[in-house]
Amino acid sequence: MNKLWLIVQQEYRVRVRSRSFIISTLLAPLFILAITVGPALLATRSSSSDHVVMVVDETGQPGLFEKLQHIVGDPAAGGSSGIHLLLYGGGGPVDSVRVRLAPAVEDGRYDGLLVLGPDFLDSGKAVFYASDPSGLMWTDAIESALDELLLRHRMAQRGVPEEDLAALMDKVHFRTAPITGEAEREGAMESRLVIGMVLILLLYMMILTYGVQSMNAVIEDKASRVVEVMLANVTPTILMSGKIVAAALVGITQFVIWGVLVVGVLGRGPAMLPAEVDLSFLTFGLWASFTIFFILGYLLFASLYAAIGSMCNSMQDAQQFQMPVTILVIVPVLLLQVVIQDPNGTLAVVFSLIPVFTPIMMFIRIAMGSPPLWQVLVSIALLAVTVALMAKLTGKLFRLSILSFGKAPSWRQVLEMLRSPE
Amino acid sequence: MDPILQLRGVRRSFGRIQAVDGVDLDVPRGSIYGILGPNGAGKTTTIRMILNIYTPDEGEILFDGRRLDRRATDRIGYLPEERGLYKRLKVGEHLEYMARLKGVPAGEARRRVGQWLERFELADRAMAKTNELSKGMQQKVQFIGAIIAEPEVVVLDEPFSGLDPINVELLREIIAEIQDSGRTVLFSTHVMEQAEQICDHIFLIHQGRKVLDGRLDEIVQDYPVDKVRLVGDFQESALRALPHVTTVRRDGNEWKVWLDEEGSPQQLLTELVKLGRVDLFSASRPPLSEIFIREVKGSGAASPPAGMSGGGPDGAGGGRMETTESTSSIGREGGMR
Repeated sequence: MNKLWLIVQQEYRVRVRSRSFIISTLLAPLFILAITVGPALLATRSSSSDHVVMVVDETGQPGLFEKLQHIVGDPAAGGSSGIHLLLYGGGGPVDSVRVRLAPAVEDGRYDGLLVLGPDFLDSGKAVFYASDPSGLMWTDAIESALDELLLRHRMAQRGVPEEDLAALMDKVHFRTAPITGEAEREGAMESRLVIGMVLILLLYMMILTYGVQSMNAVIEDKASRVVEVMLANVTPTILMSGKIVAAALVGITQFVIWGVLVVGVLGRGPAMLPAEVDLSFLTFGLWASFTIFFILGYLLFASLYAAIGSMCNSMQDAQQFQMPVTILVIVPVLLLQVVIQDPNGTLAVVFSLIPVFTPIMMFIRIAMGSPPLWQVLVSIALLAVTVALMAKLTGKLFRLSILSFGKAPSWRQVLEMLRSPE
Repeated sequence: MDPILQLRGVRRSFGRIQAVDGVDLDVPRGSIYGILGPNGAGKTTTIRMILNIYTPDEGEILFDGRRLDRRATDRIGYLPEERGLYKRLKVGEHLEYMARLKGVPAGEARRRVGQWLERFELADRAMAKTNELSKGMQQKVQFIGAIIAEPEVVVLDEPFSGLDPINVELLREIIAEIQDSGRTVLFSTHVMEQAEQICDHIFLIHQGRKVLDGRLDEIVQDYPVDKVRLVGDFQESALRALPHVTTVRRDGNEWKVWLDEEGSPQQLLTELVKLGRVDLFSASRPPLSEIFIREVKGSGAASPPAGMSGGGPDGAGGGRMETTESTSSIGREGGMR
């Protein structure tokens, strides 16, 4: 026990001070941020960044341009949309105006040219010219502003008083809520999706990364031949356990550092958190299941990876064995979309009860929905039994192959080893 | 005899290969015991069983009178043939780790690391990563790792390979010190000269079986003098005609004469004196390397000289053996002139 502790300490110290640990600890949050929050951020960023649009108003309706400015949220009219509208002061036929302004649009001085034809108020026909009209997202704002403008104009024409307009234009307020009647704040589903996704990715990455690390630690010992001296001191089981426990502790350390970073950044004050982010689903149960599935999932895969390490003398050797194991880890992540859409569907239930998929699959279901408690408990029980069986098998493989320095065994030899008496 | 280590009918196989096939061995406390044998003879498997890395399929190993267990291995130091250091650790850290794995407390471990590095003139390398060292230095670090916990038994598998003469000398000095302090050294090699110089006991293993073991001087004693170097005025045919002479060869101005089992140097000398003038007469026991070759070739069969009488008398490795011949001259050289 003493020696196990010594090995864990030593391995832990070496890994935590390694360059790769420091770099990955700092880079991973950025990476997760980039792939989860990034796209959303980019989408809002591009629509809110400034656009300048030249408007050619041929309707002859006084005050129309100012109204449009107001509705679209032009900063010049006290709005905050970032869309700047400019009224084209010159005259002439539309086609010649278009030709004249084309260079300015092409070189980006204007983002587009909006032409409201003479019959705009009747037909609603408007044309937006841009250098590359495909895939423009921010023009949606102009389109809906024109919609509103037209609607207001038509209602005013039909004698609806100005002060009633706002009430008439009020849209439906649609929301989803749990049937249990618990208070679900607006945006709860979205924040649950985003934060849940971060946790799922974290779980998956930690199981994979640190599982592979325990494999690498074993291969390092074998490749440097130091393993023989180690085995003169401790049993293979203790050596293997030491590697696995140390890698897990390194993972937990990293997780804690990330936690501190997140709390440090977000904890600066609620101001950092957008108002609509709802953290109420981060219950004790969720954290507990995260911990349980991390520990069991990690033990399952780390023992597999460590056994692979014991059979190989180089990372290249390890690849053929690593592949199928890695696929087992990845499958649940590939099914993420399906499970999120239907967390209690047949597919989700079946996969979450297959022990090798349980850790990530069941956690997805818990993070994204509320699976029946019995399913959670059964899956944990099955997983725990599998972990124990796997530890037995991988421990045997480890003991049998840790001192073989020749070629990595074939799959058939592996099966023979598993079947052989020790 | 007070054995620190005993092997009783130890067997171990790997699949269909019987690596060690019923070995008995007593290692006296305070001895320097050489484990000798050709490649693949079962030396490493035997050593690994002594270190509890492999468990015997059959038989038992006793350490200090009790069945070998994990606690006993704390009292055995090991330098494996396949050298290895923790690449990511500094020299000092690696050694400290090795000491602590054997149960040396942290402070004491640090103190000893300093001492030993000093002795091996590696003190300035304590903070270097182990993989920044030269091969020879790495080997010295490994050696320190094997002895730093001051184990009662030190198992050294080919400890000298790759070392320069100065460091070989240093290692031998330390091995002698270990013996002086009443501790035991188990020493595996296939370089017979080293074994002859260092060991007081040897164990010869071949194809998993013990061929020979015991005190080195007794083993050598058991081998009759069977070869005589002589200088004098003789005809080859006359020498050949002498009783018990099997082979005669001329080597410069020297004759080499091999005797059969019944022959003795005294009786040969008597015959020679009758024949003519004897300028030099030197009888020698076979060197360990020759014993080794004979035993291995004969696989422990009787009649040691059998292998020599047929073919070329000086056999394999003859030239090398000459250098370490344990010579016991009958009469003093020149005294017979």
